[in-house]
Amino acid sequence: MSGGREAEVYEKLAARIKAREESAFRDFARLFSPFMRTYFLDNGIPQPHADDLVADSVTDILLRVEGHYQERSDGSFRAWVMECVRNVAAGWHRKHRLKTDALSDDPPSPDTGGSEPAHLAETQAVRDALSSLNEIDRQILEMRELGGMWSYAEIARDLDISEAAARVRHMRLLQRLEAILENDPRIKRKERAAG
Amino acid sequence: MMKHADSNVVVGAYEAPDWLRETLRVASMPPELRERCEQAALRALDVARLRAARERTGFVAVPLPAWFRGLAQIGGVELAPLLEWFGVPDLSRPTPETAGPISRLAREVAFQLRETLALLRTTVAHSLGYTAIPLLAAAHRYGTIDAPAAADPVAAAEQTLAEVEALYDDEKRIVLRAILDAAKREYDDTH
Repeated sequence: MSGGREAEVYEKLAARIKAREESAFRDFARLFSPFMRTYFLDNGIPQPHADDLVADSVTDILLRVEGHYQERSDGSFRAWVMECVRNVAAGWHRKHRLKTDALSDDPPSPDTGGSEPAHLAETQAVRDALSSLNEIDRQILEMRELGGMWSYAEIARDLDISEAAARVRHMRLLQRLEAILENDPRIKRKERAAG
Repeated sequence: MMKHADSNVVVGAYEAPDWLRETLRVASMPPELRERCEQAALRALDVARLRAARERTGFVAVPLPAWFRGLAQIGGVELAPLLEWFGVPDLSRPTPETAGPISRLAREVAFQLRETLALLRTTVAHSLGYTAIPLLAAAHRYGTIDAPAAADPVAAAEQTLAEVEALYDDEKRIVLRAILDAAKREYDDTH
């Protein structure tokens, strides 16, 4: 999607939210909550606090759209949401510094300014890669990597496949995702890992 | 190591790199969190609908449950999930502990602080058996033979409530003060 087209989608989303379209509220959660989670985790907010903040931020930011956001055509809705998310992270750190003022180590300061597009880009890169998986592989990924670390036996039972097939599909989907994401310039994490 | 018939992969030879696992974990949403965020979005929509309903009403000094049931009916909102989301266990009996969440909800629905305080006072009075508040407030609002009309409906409610609260004992007054202080803090913390 071109930059201008993408900006138009986001600005239309703001207008749809103001018009109280239910699908717009769902789209907001779908589009922005992964980015919020990435941002909070990468800025030193541990789970489960990060997950709680994501859910609260979805409600709070949506409620602020009506009274605090004015439509523009320059893609500023996304930037406005990022600003709100940054403020939430800063508020969390401020609150927790006040509560833990006896500790000698300074908690990490929330990232500011130009890193939000990187988080959004990385989240989009993963979303794009996951869209290449079929439904069964996506479920295996969720159960094995993102959920409660299901065993292959449990996965096999739930998906009505053999345990061996669950194991092989899991390895294959990880290999496929590695091949896709390894060459995606939006993924910075591998560069940090390489040092 | 194990070969599988429908794959040219040797299972067990592949180990996913840490950066991949971390990227997937951080950038993907666990299903339960996805669902929770969707519910969060729908609760925001409920509040937006209640706000729109509030814009179509005037102010009347009835207890909070009646207010919110009425707004929910006008706005087409199911109230129970919304109250649960805001951490409001019981609108009919405000306490110093629940006054904050109640006031946050009232603030989000676009009640002014003065209105919220009047409604909390009305609800407390109603829970103590003073059920004629709306009638007395109407008398203040429109004036009687003996007294001029109040400036506005909230002022009329405040006059009525002042008369009722003069009958409270010290304990009730202390609890009411704590409830109203919690409500004011919620409006003071507005971002």
